[in-house]
Amino acid sequence: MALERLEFEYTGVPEEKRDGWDYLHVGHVMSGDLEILVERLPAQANVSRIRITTSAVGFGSVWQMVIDEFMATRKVCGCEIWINDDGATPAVVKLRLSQLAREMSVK
Amino acid sequence: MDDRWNLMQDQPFSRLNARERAFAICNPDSFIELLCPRRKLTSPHLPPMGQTPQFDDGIVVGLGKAGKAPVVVVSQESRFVGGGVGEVHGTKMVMAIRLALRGQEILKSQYRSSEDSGQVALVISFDTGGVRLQEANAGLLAHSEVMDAFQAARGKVPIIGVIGGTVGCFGGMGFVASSVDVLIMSDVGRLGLTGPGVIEEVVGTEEFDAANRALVWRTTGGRHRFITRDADFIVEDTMKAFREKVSEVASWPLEKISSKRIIGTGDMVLEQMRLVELAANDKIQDSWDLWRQFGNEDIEHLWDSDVSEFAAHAQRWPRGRIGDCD
Repeated sequence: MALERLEFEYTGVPEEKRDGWDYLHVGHVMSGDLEILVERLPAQANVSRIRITTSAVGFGSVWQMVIDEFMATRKVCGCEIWINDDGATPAVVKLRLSQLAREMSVK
Repeated sequence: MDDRWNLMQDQPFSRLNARERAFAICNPDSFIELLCPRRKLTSPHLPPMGQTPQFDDGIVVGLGKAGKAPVVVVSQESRFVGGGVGEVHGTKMVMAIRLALRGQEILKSQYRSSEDSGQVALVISFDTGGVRLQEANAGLLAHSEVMDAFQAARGKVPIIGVIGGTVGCFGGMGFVASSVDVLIMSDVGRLGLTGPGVIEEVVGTEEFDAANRALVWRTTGGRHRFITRDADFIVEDTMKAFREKVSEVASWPLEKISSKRIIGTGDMVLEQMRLVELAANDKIQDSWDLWRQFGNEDIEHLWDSDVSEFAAHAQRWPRGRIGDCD
């Protein structure tokens, strides 16, 4: 019944150029979907923290893989990423992450 | 100019989410969200029950301009727990109404006439099944607080309701939507108290078949609500159509907006009772029987016609109200 909370941390090189957003939000909490909120940490931060709250308990290693892949390709640094998940499949998670990546580059 | 805003105008209102609706119902670049997801004002009741909370608790509130009018916008998100009203969700709505009232008082005190100051209007986009069952007591309380805030805003802040989402407006929020001044619906929008699924479950499929979409929409949908005058306007299911109608209504004098209200006095209650009496008559088995009663003839044509043609030709309930027709 209880929710599971997961936390991942990534270290990288701080961005030199910070473009026009300090927070972004995509998605919804509904069955099989999730919402993602990204906040910029103060400049020069070289750590990104990801906090996941999910109703599907016991999928920590799957989350680790999906997030690892995202962080490796996007090289997001100096951000705090909050995920509220209601049982989204890894495919849906990746879709929402790529939506987020698009918003990050558009704004 | 804002490209996103322009793109949204041509999209179906029903397909946009609550945040997009709030943003696009205001003038371009005018909407500012209050208590945005970043504030993480989430429901304290859902996590202990194993339900993931959402950062905005399923409701978007903010400030903007609609035409010339400053507006406070409230927009419900039906994707999150069916748009159910919980403690935080309800509080955000109540505080938005109070904010509109406070804003109006400040405008009034700083400008001599409303021509100088404009007039603050409250716009609520409903997309909800009413009380969020996981936090039923807090949700019910929120409903009564919203009604209370409406009462405080009477004659001061015009309240414009909008229903065009995929869930529509049911449960306790059905009462709330019925007590706004002006209600704008699309034919996708639905309004009722007990939702179709609940009716079916309680009294059986013979009474109401919730899987029969045509039946559900002709009983609760915007077209029927327009004919029974629960809705004042019916518009196309586009963001633009809703925005234009909201701007138009927001520019009316307060007296004209208030005159559209369907509850609030003894006479209005009697009017509503007359309609109930009529609908409870043995001869009325279906909403279309009621349409016929009001003088509509080619019902199927009327049902299939596009919204503007429907609005022009539909014969509505001939209640004796001020400022009808337009």
